[in-house]
Amino acid sequence: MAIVFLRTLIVYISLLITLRLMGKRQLGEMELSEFVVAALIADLAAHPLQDIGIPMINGLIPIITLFCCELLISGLTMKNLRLRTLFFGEPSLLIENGQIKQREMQKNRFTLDELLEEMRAQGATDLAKVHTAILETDGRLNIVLKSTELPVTAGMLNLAVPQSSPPEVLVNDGRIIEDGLRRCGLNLPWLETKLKELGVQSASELFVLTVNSKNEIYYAKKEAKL
Amino acid sequence: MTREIAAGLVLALLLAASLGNIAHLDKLIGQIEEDLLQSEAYAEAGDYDAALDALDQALQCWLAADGYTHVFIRHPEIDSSSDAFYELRQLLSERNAEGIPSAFQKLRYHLHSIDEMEHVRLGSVL
Repeated sequence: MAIVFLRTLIVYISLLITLRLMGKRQLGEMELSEFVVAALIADLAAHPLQDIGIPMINGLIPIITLFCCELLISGLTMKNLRLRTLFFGEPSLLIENGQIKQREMQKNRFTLDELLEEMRAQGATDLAKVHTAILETDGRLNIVLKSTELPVTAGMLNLAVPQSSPPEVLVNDGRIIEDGLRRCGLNLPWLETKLKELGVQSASELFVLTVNSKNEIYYAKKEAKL
Repeated sequence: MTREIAAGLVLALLLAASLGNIAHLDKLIGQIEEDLLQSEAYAEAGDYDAALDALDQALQCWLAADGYTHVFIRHPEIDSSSDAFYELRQLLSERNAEGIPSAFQKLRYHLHSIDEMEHVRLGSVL
C-alpha cells in the first residue's frame, strides 16, 4: 500500500516535470496537471479490472492519490502566481509586434509549418497580417491580427447596437423546454398561440423551435418518417 | 481552500494508513513466524505431532487474516504462501524428514517476500 502510494507520487511528479520540459504543444488544450492525471488514471483503473489477482485497493489508491494531488496543485496554483508559472509555465509569444520569435518557437518545439497550420485554422492565412501569436499554457495558439486587418465593428463606427443574446431553444425534438421559456420570460400559453399562428397543431410536430431576444421565431418541422 | 485542505488531509491519511498497514503486516507475519519457528524446532527434535500442532496454529493465524490479505496483498502471493503451508503440512503428516527443512524455508521465503513487498525501501519503491 505504501509502495503503491509513493510510486504514484513519484510517477505523478516525474510526468509533471517531463511534460513541463517537453513544452506546451504536447498538451492539447489541457493544463499540465490535468493532462498527467488523465494520462495516468485511464491506465491505472484498467489494471485491477483486467487482472483479478490485483487487489482493487491497488488501483484505487493511485486514483485517490492523483485526484488529491491534482486538487492540491490546481488549488495552490490558483492562489499563487509563482507556483502557477512553475507548474504550467507562461504563455509564449511566437509573434510579437508582427515579428516571428524564432527562439521562442524553437523553445516550444513549434515549427513554421505548424504555426502556419494553426493560423490557417483560425482564418489567418498571411503572416504579414498577424500582430501577435500567443502559445497558451494549454497548448492552444491564439492570434491577434494587426489593427488594420481587424474587421470593422459597430464600436469602431460609434454605432449604438442593442445587445442581443443567443436564441433560446423552446422545442427540442418535439419536447417543450420549460426552462427555456422561463429564461425568456415567456410561458406555455404564449408558445401555444405562436404554434397556432405557425399552423402547427402541437409541439410534438416540431424538430426545433428557437426564439431570439426580439421574440423572433425560427422553427423546423420533423421530417416525415420513412 | 477547504478543498485543498481536504485533499492534503486525504493524502496524509493515505500515508498514515500505508504505514499502519506495514505495522499490521509486520505483526501478522511476526506472529506466524513465531509459530513456524516453534514448529521447526519440534520437527528437528523429531516430535512431528507437536510440529504439526504448531504449524496448524500458524495456518489458523494465516487463514484468519484472509479478509485482510485479500484486500491488501496480491492474490498470487497469497496463493503461493497458502500452497507452501499445505505442502509443509503434508510433509509433516508424512514425517518426511528430508523434505521438511526445505518446505519450511520455502514457506518462510514466501511470507518474507509478502512482508518485504510492503516495506518502504529505495529498492522496493524504485
